[in-house]
Parts: sequence; structure tokens; C-alpha cells
Amino acid sequence: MPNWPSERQLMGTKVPRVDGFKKVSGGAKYSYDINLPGLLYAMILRSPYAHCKIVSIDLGPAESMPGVKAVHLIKKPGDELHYAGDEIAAVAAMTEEVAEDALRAIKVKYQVLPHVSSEDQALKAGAPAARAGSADERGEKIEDAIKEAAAVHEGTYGCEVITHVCLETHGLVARWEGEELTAWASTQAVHGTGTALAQHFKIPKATCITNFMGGGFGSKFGPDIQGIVAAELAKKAGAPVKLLLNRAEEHNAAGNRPSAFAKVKAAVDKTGKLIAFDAETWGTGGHSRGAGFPLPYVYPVDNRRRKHTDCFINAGDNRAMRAPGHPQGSLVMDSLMDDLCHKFDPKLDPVEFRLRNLPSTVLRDIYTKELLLGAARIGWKENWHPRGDNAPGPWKRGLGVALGTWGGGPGDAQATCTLHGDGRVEVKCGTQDLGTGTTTVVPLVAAEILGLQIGDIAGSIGSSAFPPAGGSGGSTSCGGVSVAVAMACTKALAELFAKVAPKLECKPEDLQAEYGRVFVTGNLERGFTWKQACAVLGQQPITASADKKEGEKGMATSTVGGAQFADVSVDVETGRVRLNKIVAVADCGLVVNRLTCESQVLGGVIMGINYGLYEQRRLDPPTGLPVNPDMEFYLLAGAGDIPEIDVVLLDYPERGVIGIGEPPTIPTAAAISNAVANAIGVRVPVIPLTPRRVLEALEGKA
Amino acid sequence: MSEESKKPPAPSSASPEASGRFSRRWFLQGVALSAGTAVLPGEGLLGGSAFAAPQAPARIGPEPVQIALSVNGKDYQVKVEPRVTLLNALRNYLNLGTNTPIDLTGTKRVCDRGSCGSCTVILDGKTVYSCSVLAVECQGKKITTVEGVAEGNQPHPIQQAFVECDGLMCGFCTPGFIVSSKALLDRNPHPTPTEIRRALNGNICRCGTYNRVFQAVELASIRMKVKGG
Ligand code: FES
Ligand code: FES
Repeated sequence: MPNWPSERQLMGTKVPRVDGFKKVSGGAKYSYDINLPGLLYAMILRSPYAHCKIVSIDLGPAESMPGVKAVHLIKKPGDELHYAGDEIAAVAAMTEEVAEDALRAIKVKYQVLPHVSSEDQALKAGAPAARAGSADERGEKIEDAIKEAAAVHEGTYGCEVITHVCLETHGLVARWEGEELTAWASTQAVHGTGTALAQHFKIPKATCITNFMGGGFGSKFGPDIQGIVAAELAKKAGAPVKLLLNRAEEHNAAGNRPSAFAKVKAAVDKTGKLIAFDAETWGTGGHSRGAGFPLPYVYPVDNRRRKHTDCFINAGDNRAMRAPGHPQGSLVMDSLMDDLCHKFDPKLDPVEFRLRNLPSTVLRDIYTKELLLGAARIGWKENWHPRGDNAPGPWKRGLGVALGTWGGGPGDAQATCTLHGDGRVEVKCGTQDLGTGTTTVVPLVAAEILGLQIGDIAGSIGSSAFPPAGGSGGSTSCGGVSVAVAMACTKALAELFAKVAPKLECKPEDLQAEYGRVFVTGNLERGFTWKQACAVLGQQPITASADKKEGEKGMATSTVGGAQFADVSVDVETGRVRLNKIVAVADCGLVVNRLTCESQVLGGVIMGINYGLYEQRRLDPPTGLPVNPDMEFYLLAGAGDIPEIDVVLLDYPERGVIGIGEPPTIPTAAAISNAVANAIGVRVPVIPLTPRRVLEALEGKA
Repeated sequence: MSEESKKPPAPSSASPEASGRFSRRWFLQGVALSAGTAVLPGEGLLGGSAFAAPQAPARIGPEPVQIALSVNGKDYQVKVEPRVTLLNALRNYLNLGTNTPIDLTGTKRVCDRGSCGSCTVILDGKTVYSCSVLAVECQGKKITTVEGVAEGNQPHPIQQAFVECDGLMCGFCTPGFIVSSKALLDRNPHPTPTEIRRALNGNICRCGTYNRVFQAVELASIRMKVKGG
């Protein structure tokens, strides 16, 4: 069975990004930055109402404006528009300014329809929006279990809709050369996007290029409407077209994380073990998508029942967002766990309570280690107190903990490795770098296998012209890509060894590549430098291809658990929450690049801080219009809001490579919510924990 | 000044209700023009000869006008409508310049309304959000973008430190952070951690790189000190 080298020179060390200098100097060209000769700028006209029908539409005035080169109808008269921001038509013009004027010139008559803009409205009988239900029941009669219980707790918890806020918006630059389409797209899937464009236009192939992309977080997996429209306009105009959404469009039409609310009743027996769980849950994922999330979460319960309702409202649809469903599940479940622990025994340590309720899976050991390690790092023993800080003064301090889990596993990936006669090494893989560091993973892994330095490898990713790899979602890229690259390099090296062995009068299997040399194992002197070794290839380079399937068993794995701890202070006079410190213990198997792996964890935690304290998409109930599709009223943490974040990587090299994009963002908000409850003595049931909500909870109104 | 010239040009057609859009540009243009005429009566915003004729109206545009911009120590001629922001002039128009077209897209457009800092540039020594300044206002001023932070081919210590500390992930916010950090170190070579946070409070990073950005600024500051900064 293939495996990673037991002695590793590079993997697990801290390696700065190979494309770092391009990013700090402005030299990195994102899709948003592609300027081609004759480039046109496109914009989309969108529904101004939460719910309406197009009565008539006249593109004529826009079409005849000087500087406008193409117009395109997306919807037609009679079509329904389901949310403020739904696409209607698009224009391409010589400048953005003209395109903006042209949108204003389009004449549309609308018939306004009744709208639904909140979960509550959707749940009301007779609401114009449909809803769906699902039910799940297992184990014995919940009621019986509850009768036997040592403690029962009932509570309502919730999370609001948030949006991805990718700093680079969705969109692409499209260029036709005859029947050939090239798209520079801000996407998490170069192959998926290329294929979808080719299918739409019924052409043999479309090339998608993404050398740099400014964040996706789960929302960028295909060309979307705006990508198709850009390519349509480019075709009509006979010129390249750039269409990247503006900030408001990004908020309204490019995805969101659904809301999640839960009314839960749960019980424990006299040992403090969960024995019953009964939940009614609901949430909205927009006008046509659901709002599912896992529950119960992490902690197993045999007797359980859950009824879920998806609320359809007149808002943009959800898209996968960093660990879809899990941050919601974690917030509900871990809040409940703390409340239940408090009800069972106000003096019982919530860490101990969790240890009693861990799953009996492979994760049991991992969670145990993480809980003990994290507790030590946050100062749990010294600073934890039963609920409610009795210290004098308005600032109350508290500690909280929460757990998360994720599947992951190695995603689809193929790679090629080419060794040239002059010693050059090229490695290609059709994956992409969302900011996660994949661009650096490729040469890092190749250099490890070939015994070279990172600078010796020319790694190429970010194009559908390279060997196919899956979209970067589900924390699967690092595993899949590193295994595919390792296997391709291993194969190429074997071919090189076969050619070099006769020159060293040894068998190929006696050879080894390390320290920039190819030599007979045990005798560094009996060998060649890498360059000398490659010289045997002359004009005939070696190219080897591999699929991650050839090595995934043993080299990569799935199923991870993570624990996070929060230390907060809350001002009970103003309701403000201040973070003192967060500890994130991340289960990360064999670390590929320690530097970027830690960055991923930091980033996940910060996204969790935003979720717990600041973010909320707001719709105006009377009109259904978005209130904060921007970055001043849609709040995100800034430099002054960030606490010390202690990242602890729980190394488990024998488990192989594990993706780390999603797990670290799962339990942060729940840990913060628990810390706040610990500080002020009451639960603030719904995140974000705004000052208003904190004050309401203190007044017993929540 | 006639009533006509005070009014921002009317949007070319449909009302905001019809299209559902409200353009900040019209608003900006109105503000900037009235502010400009108040400060420089009779001179106009543009010092250029074409506009310095006797009784030159303070009103410029709405048609494109030729302006000169000094970016990273080089002068460029661009033709832009007065409503074009400095950010858009840099990103969309410099590459169309007649003298020496140049592709300066390092400065990023993210919120386009002065709340994220991704478009930060240094204008006459002060950081500004280039999405909230009109290009025509920047004539005769020195503009430094992220492309002008390096000293020749030598990365600036702040750039070196960002790479080493991994003060970047997707990198889309990074140009703004680099420019803000450089401006901070220019005026305060040895900032305290609080001063660093305060100076960078106008920049938003969605990937969550803040902690390492702070480290990078500290590292750069120490290195500059060692070098006698
Ligand atoms: S783009 Fe200028 S501040 Fe956000
Ligand atoms: S690095 Fe991606 S937004 Fe800051």
C-alpha cells in the first residue's frame, strides 16, 4: 500500500506561499483584474421588488445608447421574479459608466406580488410561500425516557441568515475566439465551470482559468447565471466581456448560509448522559432551497425525534457555506448541552459533562485529547466558575466550550509530473487555490517525493486545461491533490530510477532521491546530482500521470473532530461582548504545510467570531427589500475586534492528510455563546449576540 | 453659475424606481463639484489649459475629460468622465492610456463605498479609499498604489513580512492591508500593538488573516529598526 515517506523533509514544516510575493505586490491577477484589448463591461438589471411579475420589458433604449455593444434578456414578460435581486436582463458596454446608464434606460413594467420576508411570516397559515416538512424518529418513546430523567431542559436556539461576502465577487471574463470559449472565472471549480459552459453553448470545450481567486467559502462552483450571461454577451458583441457582480448583488444573489431555529427538549439520566432529545426545527434557505442542518450533533442520543420545516421566503437562495449546516447544528446542540449541564448540576464542569457524552466512534479519543488540551490552554481550571460571574462592576467574564465534526476525505484529483533532461520538474493539476494554499501544496508535495526544494518545482494549477480535479469544497482538495501529486511524482521517479540504475550499476529499487541527489541507498556518494541524473533523459522527458485513487488509502482520510474554547467579557450595562481569547484545537492528521494550515484554522475561527457576534442578513419586513447588502451595515470583525487566537494542531500523521478548510469554523460561535452564558448567567438564545440581544436576555425578555 | 450647472446631470433615462438602482456616483459627483467650485472660484477642478479659458465654467463633464494622474512616480494621461472614481480610473482606464498604457489592478474594488479598505491608496502622504475619491480630484497629487510600495525590485520590509508570517490567504484584501501598513510605518515606524490595530481598523479581511497581519507589521517594524529606521 502506498504511503508517505516516513522521514519527511518538507511536509509538516512552515512554508511561505509560493505566490505570496505576487499577492503582496499587486501582481496577482484575479479574474476581476483581467483586462483584455477591447474588453466590454457587463451589468445585470435586477428585480427591485421582493416578489413581482414582469408585465413588459423594453431593451430598446439601452440598445441604442452610444457605447452599448450588446443586450441580453434573461427573463421575459410574464416571468415571476422571486426576490429583490433576481436577474432580468444584462448589457455590455464600452465602459462601466455607460453600462450603468444603460441599465437605467431599460424600461420594465412590474406587477407587484405579495411577499414573505421572514421565517415567522412563512410559518403563518395561509402565507403565500410554500413550506415542506420532514420528520425523523428513532429509539423508544421519548416521553417514557423523559419520565425517568434526572434533569430535563427545554429551550429555543437560533442562528440568522448570513452571506459569504467573498471579497472578490462572483463572475468571470469571457472571450470567444471562433467557437472556442475561454473564461477567467472566480470559481472553486475550474473543471466544473469549464464543463458547464461547454454544455450550455454546446461546444466541445471551454477553458476555465483561475490563477488567483478572492474567496469562495462554498458559493462558487459553476458559471452561474452571470457567467453564462457574460459569455452570451461576449458572443453577441464579438468582444471579450467582464461581468463581476457588485457588492449588493453579491449579498442578494450569490448565496447565503440558511438560518436555523430549534425548539428542543432534552433529558439526561442520573449519570449525566443524554437519554432523550425532541426537537422542532425550522429555517430559511431562500425562495427555493431548504435549510437543513444536522441535529442532534456530535453527542449521540438513542431516543430522539425531530421535525423540520423549510421556510421559503422571497430572498436569494442558499449555497453551501463553509461546513454547510454544521455551525448551525453546533450552535443549537452545544448551547443545549451547556443549559442541560447547568440544569442537571449547576456546579458540574461542562468539559466533564461533554466527556460523559462523547460518541463511541474513532472520534472519542480525539475529542478527549482536544478537550483536555484546550482546557489547559484557555485556563479552564483556574477561571471557570458556575454560571454567572459575581465579580463587582459591569464587566462579567466567562468561559465556554463547543465541539464540531466534519467528514472531508480526499476529493477527486489527477496530476501529471514531467521530468526534463535539464532537471526541470513540472507538475500539473487542474485544481484551484481559493486562498487555502493549494498552489503551494503542489510543489511542496512534489519536492518531498523527489527529494528537491520547492523552488525546483514548477507547479501549475488553476486551469481546466490541466488534469481533472474536483471542485474545492468539503475540505477535500488538500487530501486529493497531495495524494495525486505524490503518486504522479513517485511514478515519474521510478521511471527515472530505471534509466539511471544501469549507470550506477545497481537495481532501480536500490535508488533513492533526497537532498537534491539520486543515489544508492546508504551511500550518498554513489550517485548523481538531480541534474546529472536527469541528463540521462536527453531530449526525452518523462511524464507520469496519477489519480488520487491510487494512493488514497493510507495517505489521506476523513472524519475529524475539533474543540474550541472561548474566554469572553460582557458589559452587562451595554450588552457588549469582548473576546479575550479563543483556543482552537484542530484535528489535522498529517499536516502538509504548517504555516497555511494554521492560517486556515485562524480564518475559520474568525469566520466563527463573525457568525457569533456580528453577521446578519436583514430584510425589511414591509417591503422585503435587503437592508444591508453592503459592508457597513452588514457587520464583519475588523482589526480591533480580534482577540488572541491560540491554534493547536493535533498532529496525527498516521491518519494521512486531512482537509482543514471547514472544521475550524464550526464550533466557534457556540463556544462564544456558552462563554457569554457563563459570564452573565443567562442564555442569549439567538446569534449574532448583539448588544440588544444580550440586554434583552438579561432582562428576561429573550 | 447657472442653475443648470449646479445640478448633477440627470440620469439618462428610467427613474430609480423603474430600475431599482440608485447610483452613488451621481451623488458623489454633485458633492465633489460643489465643493470644488466653492474652494476654487473661477478656476475649475481642472488646471489644464482647455479648461482655464476666461469665464471657464466650473462645470466639467458629463463627457469624458483628459486628466493627468501621477501614479507611483510616473505621469499618465487618461480620459475619464468626471464621475469616475480614482479606483476605477486606476483599474479600468490606465490600461487604455495613450502614452504608456499600464495595467494597475492591484488596488481592489470590494465594497465600492468606503467601508472595507481594499482600495486603499496613498494620496499625498495620506491613505484614502480610492473608491470614494473622484479621479478628477487627484490631478497634481501623488498617488501610491500597492504596485508602488516595493523599492524597485526589492520588496518593502512589510511585503517580505506579510509573506513570511502568512499575513494573507486569498490575498484580495492584501493590497489594502499592505498600503495601510506601509502608510502606518511611514508615519510611525515603531507602532505599539494597539496602534497597529487602530491603523488597520479600516480594512476588512474575510479570510481572517488579522492575527498574522499584526505579526507581519511588528516584524517589519523590528527589521526596519535594526536597519536604522
Ligand atoms: S472598495 Fe473602497 S473601501 Fe471598499
Ligand atoms: S486574505 Fe482573503 S480577504 Fe483577506
